[in-house]
Amino acid sequence: MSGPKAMLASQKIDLERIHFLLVDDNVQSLDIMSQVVAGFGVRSIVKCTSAAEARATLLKNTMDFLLTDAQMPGESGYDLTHWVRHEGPETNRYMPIVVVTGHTPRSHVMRARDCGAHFVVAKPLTPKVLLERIFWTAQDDRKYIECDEYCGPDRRFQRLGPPVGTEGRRSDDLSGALGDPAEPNMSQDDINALMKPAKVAL
Amino acid sequence: MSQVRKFKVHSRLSRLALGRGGVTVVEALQQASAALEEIRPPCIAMVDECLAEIDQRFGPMAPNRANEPLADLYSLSSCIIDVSGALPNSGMDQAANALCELVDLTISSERVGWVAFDVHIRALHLLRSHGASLSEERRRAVISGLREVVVKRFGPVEAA
Repeated sequence: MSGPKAMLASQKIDLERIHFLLVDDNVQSLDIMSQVVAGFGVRSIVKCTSAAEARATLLKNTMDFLLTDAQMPGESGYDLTHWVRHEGPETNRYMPIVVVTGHTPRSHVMRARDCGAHFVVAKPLTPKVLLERIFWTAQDDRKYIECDEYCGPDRRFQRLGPPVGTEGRRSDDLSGALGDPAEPNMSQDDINALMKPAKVAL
Repeated sequence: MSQVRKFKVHSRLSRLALGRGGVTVVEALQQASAALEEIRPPCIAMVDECLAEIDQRFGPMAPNRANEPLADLYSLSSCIIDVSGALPNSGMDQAANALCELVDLTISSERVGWVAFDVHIRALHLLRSHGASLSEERRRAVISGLREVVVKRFGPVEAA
């Protein structure tokens, strides 16, 4: 799995035919999202001020990208994301989702990740950060994981290996036994003796 | 454990966005910034409306602030963050973020301390009036002062 490539100034991006769904209960904030996305060249933008309105839109239309505020009264952007991933129509279930939020304690970021969002973007929204996340999402080669508890992009995008003492569940996880020490670690003197040959008197 | 399915999804975004057409990143960013400029005045007006409502309901002179729901203060400061991009380099977003943090911790701990709120509200006013003209160092000092108020009251706060 490779990480996202850097966005170059000369890189071209074509969002003209991409259908964007924007959701925020704050109308002014929704306008900011919409202006930024329109500036990127997007022609098809649907704006909703609640998760319920967004759900109704998603039931009738196929969208390509969901940008939703996290904290909305009643049903939050996290709930909407969870609904899309678990109960949304098949045509929209695996769409890229970016959650935007003004307040980003670690617990909120984890919540967004665990409900199946691709990325979290901190407000205030800036064109550069949003375009970068769209760009990353377009190149994202993470597999989707679908099970009762979770549906969304693979959350394990950092290669830290399986938890210590377990075999790991990925087909390409290395065996837990591989790399186990066969004998005690070498002392620094042993290492020096190997790596730093010294002149000896004959 | 439930059945786990792993699969690749080739989104329309991936197929269409990174082809040869479209605009360059520089052009896209310039167009977006120009589009944002058009809605700057209403965004600034919203910051001022939120600040006025915070003063009226939660400020030091608000007669009934102890009975006002703190969740509303969270919403107001969150709203300031939403539109504070219209006031770049003012520190408003960070001060409003610190206020959100304070409200969040206050609600979960049920320990209301109005002095800490007053400090945050005064900082918001200071940054609204002079934030953009302050040096980066002084602006940072104001924000770190707010963080210290929160830490002093509730201990170290989890970072994203």
